[in-house]
Amino acid sequence: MDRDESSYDCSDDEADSLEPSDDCFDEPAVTRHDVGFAVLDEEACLALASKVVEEVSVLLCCGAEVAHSLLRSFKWDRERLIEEYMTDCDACAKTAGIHLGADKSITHSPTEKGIVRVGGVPKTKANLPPIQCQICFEHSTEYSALQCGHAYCNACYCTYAVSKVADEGHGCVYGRCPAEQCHLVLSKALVASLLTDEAHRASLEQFARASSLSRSFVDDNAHIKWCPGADCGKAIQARPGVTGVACTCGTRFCFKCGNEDHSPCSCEDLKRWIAKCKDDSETSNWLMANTKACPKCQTSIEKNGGCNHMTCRNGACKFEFCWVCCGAWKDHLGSFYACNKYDPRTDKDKKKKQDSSRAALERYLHHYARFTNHDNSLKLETEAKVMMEKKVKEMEALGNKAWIDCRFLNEANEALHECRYALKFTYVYAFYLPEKHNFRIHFEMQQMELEKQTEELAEQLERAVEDIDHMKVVNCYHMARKRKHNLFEIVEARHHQEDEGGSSSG
Amino acid sequence: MPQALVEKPTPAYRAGGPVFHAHPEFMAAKRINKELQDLGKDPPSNCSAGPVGDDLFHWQATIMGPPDSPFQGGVFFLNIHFPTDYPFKPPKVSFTTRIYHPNVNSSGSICLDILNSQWSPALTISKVVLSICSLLTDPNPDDPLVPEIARIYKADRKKYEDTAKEWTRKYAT
Repeated sequence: MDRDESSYDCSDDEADSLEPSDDCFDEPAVTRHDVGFAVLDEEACLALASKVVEEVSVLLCCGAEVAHSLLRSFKWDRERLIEEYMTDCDACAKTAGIHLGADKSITHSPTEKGIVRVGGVPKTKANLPPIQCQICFEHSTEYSALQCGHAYCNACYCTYAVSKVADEGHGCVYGRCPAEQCHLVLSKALVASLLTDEAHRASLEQFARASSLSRSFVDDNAHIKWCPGADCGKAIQARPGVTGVACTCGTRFCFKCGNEDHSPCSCEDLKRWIAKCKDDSETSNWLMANTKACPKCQTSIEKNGGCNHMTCRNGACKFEFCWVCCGAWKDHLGSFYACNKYDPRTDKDKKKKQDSSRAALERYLHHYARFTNHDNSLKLETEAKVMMEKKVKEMEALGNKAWIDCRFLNEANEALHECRYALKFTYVYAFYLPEKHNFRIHFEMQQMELEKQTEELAEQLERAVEDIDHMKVVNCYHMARKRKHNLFEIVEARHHQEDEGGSSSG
Repeated sequence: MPQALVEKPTPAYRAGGPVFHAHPEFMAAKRINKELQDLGKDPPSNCSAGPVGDDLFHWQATIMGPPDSPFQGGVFFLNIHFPTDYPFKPPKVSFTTRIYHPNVNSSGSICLDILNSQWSPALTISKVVLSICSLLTDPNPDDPLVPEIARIYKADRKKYEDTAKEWTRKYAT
C-alpha cells in the first residue's frame, strides 16, 4: 500500500463514502489489499461525529447532548437508533440514560455565586428548601440533581462523581444518578458544576475527555479503531472485511484482531501460530540465537544487516553463504534458489529419521526459523532507516545529485520494509497450508520470487553510496512490490475459491 | 455510638493534623452510625444487623428464612464488611451459614447485582438485607453462582426444594 493512498485526506466527500450508514457498506467486502480505510485525526473524528450528531438531533428534535448519548448507546448505528426511537422512544431513553420529561435539574454555576439553576431557571440559593441527603443522611441546603430531580448534597455528589471516574475510567460516562432504579447518566454540566475544586481538576479533565464527542465516536464505533502506535492518537476507519491497515505514523495493524498486520495469513492462523510459538519456545530457543557457525570454517558469525547473503570474514575463508539455510550462496543464484521451500527429502537424506513427530517438528522449525529471520531483518532494517537518511545526505554531498533525486532511497527502503513484513507472515500462511497440494507449490514459487527480489533489494541498499545504481534500485523495488502484489493476489483468489466451493478441501 | 469514633481515631487525627471532615473514613463512620440508628428506630421484621464488638466497619446480620420459601424456619447469619470509602463502594456481604441456593456458593459468596456493578451510595444495609431476603424467595437461576443448583432449580423444582429444606434443617436450625 502506498503511503499517499492510505493516508488520503478525509475531506467531506471521502468521509461520506466511508460512513457506516452509507450504501457502500452494503456492497461486497473489499479485497484485502485495496485501500478500504482512512486515517482520521482528532479534527476529522470530531467533524464526522458532529455531522452525525447534528443530523440525528434534527431528525429526532432533540438537543446535541441527548443525540450524543443516544448515538453512544446505539454504538453510533444511526439507522438502528432512528428506527428504534420511532418505535419506542421511552425504552431508548432508558437505555441511553437520558431524560425526556420535565427538567428538574439543580445545578450551581461555578461563575455566578449565590445563584442556582433549577430546571435551567436561575434562582437565588437562599430559596432552596433543606433536604436530607440520601448518601450522608445529613440535612443540607447545598445540593444538586440531574433532570430527574433526585437531589444529593454537593459534597456527596462530588465524591460520587470522583469515585466513578477513578473506578471506571472511560466508563464513568455511564455513571448513573445514585437514586435506586434511576437510569439517568451523569451529565457533563452537572459534573462540571460539582468538581470545581483544584484537587478534582484531574478527575474533571478525565470525565471531559471520556465524554468528548470524538472519543466516544471512536471508542463505541465498530467501524473505527484507535491506532495502537505509541502516542499516535489517530484513528482508523475501515470498511467491513478490511484487515490490514496502516496509520500515517507507520504502525501497521490488523483491524479485525488488533495484532500487527499479518496479511496474507488469516487472524485464526496467526492466533494458532502465536500459541504454537509460545508452546514450542523451548525447542526453538536455540534457533533464536543471534549467531551461526560459518558452514565452512565454523567461526561464529553475527548478522549485522538485513541481507541474507553472508560472507565469512575469517582470514582466508571468505565463504559466501545464505543465512537462512546455511547453503552456499552460489546455489541461490538463478533458478537454484530454493531456500524458501521445505523439502522433506533433503531432511531425510540428512537425518534419516522417519519418525513423523520429528518430521512435524522439523516442518515447524523450518517455517519458524524463516519467520523469525524476517522478523529480525525487519528490526535491523528499521535501524537502517536512520542509516539511509545518512546515505541520502552523503549522496547529496557527492555533488552530482540533488536531494530530491536521492529520495528514491527512502522509497526503496519503504518497499523493502513492506516486502519483509509480508514475507514474515507468508511463512505462517504456508505452515497452515495442506502439505500436498498444487496451490502450495504455486504459493511457494511466488514466495520464492518475492524473497529473492527482496534479498536483492536489501543487497542493493546495503552497498556503499558511490556503488548505488539509481536505476537498478528503482527497478528492484518496483519488481519487489509487484511480486508482493502477485503473492497477495493468489492468496485472495484462493480465498474466493474456497468461499464459493464451500467446505470442499482447499 | 459516636463514642466509638472518639475511641478509635483514624491515623490522620493521631498525626496531630487538623480535623479533616472530608476524610473518607470519617464520612463512612458517620454514615454507618446513622444507618445503625435508623435500624434501631425502625427495625425490619424478619432480619437484624449490627456491629461485631466495637468495630463499626464489621457487622453481623441475621435473616429469618422467608415463610414462602424452602428456607422457612431457618436462621441465616451473614458477615458484613464496610470498605473505608463506604457508601461510595459496596459493602462486602457473605453468608456464614451454609445454604442451598443457586446464587450463593459454598464459601458464602452472594451473586447479587446491587453488591457489585449496580451498587449505589443511596442504598443502605437494610435495603441490601431485604434484597437478599427476596433473593431467597426468588432465586435468579439465569445468573447463577452455582450452575448445578440452578440447573436443578429449573429442571426439577421439587428436588431443589427438598434439598434446600434438608440443608436448612441441617445447617440453619
